[in-house]
Amino acid sequence: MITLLPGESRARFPRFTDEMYELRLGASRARLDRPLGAINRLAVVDYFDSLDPLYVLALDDAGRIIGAIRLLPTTGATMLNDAFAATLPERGRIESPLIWEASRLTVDATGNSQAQERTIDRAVGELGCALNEIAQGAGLTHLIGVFDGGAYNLLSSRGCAGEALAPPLSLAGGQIFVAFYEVGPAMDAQFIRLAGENARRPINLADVDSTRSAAGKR
Amino acid sequence: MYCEDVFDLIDRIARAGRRPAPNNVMDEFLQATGFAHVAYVAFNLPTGPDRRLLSAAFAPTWRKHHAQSGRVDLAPLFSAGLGGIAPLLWDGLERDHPIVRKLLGEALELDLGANGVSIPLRGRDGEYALFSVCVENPGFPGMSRNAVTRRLMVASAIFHSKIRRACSLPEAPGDRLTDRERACLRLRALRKTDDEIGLALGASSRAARFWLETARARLNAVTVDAAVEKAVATESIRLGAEAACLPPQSLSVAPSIGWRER
Repeated sequence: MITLLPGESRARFPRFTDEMYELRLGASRARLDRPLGAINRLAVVDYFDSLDPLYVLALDDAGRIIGAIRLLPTTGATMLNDAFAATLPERGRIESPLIWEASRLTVDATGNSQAQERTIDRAVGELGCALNEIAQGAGLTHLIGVFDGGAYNLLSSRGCAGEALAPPLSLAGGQIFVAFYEVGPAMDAQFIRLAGENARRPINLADVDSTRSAAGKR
Repeated sequence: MYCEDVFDLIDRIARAGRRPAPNNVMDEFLQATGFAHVAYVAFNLPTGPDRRLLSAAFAPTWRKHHAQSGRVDLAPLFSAGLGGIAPLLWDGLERDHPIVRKLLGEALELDLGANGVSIPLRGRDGEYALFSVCVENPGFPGMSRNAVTRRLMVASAIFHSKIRRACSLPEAPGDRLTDRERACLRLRALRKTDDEIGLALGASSRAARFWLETARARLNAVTVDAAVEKAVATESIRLGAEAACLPPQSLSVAPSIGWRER
């Protein structure tokens, strides 16, 4: 299931926020692109998190976060325009009120391999369907994805990596991939087969939080 | 923020200089779109060291009302709209909340209507803005809700860019069309389809639509057709001899920003 965490509401939902950053940190460690000694969120929280983005979270049946992605409008500061400008064709900023940037895709890759694959499929599928639905609701035409190598491999191996917008950028031993998706049925089709019947409308974060709190007290 | 800082901030806002230009922009926009009530507020506009706190342009009725009331009951819209990035449809507001109920009740009393959309805006210089439109009948003939939202997203961005221009912000190098965008606009001007444009550029039709959209946004045009017309008019693209071979109606008359028959 999917829930939305508006950046400005992070203080109201500290457990979800911590869990999301922990997931990010875990994925980062698994890819060895951060020092193994990195123990806190400072290692994975960047400037763009301070801009109150919209986080889309995929949850398992117990309400645990199994995937997350971050959305920012391209009219403001974005990773692509302000951190990786060198990758842009002709170095022109990509700015449109109808194009948002999706970045920091993270999915839970713990557990045994078979269960892990199912979890990744579900998280990727649900996140993709949710992005498409959110984008349609906001009247968007396209989404830009800025992915690190690990996230890009997850997507490309499942046939949903979007269309390349620029050549990959080499950065500190890793690569950054930039792709775009056209919002609409074609994007939905890429992800719905992974999400299956779990692709549903976002549920209220406060409801999930109270359910989890109640379960924790029992 | 400490209380002293808040009062100091309020005092500085009260003493801040007023600029008439944004109000003219608002009048032009209302006249062009046919909307009766539009509100716009921006924070952190990079307007220079002498006036950096706040720029606001509310419809006169709202301005008067809020000035007389001397309060900030717009908080639900501000917190949800300015903090977030997604368009906020007022029918999604928690209408049982006392402040929301009061605000919407007053909007009805003032004949503004209790339905509307607020569009949060983020700017490249770190500015935040909120553009709100009262829409008594939230639907335009033959347009879906998503299509209306899309047009409001475009209109609000154009409005914001006019405000930036009114603040005399210089054009940045990134404001100019890229070669790819120019090529897409030129081919569209020659009435090529998205497939044909993509093929000509060695890309897909999806890529053609993507670059047409970025070109439209860069030119602050309402539609891609309007962007083509603007690019031709400003000689950003040249059609040359190929245009002479086209039938007379080749360049569609770009729709103005106007949304309804006047």
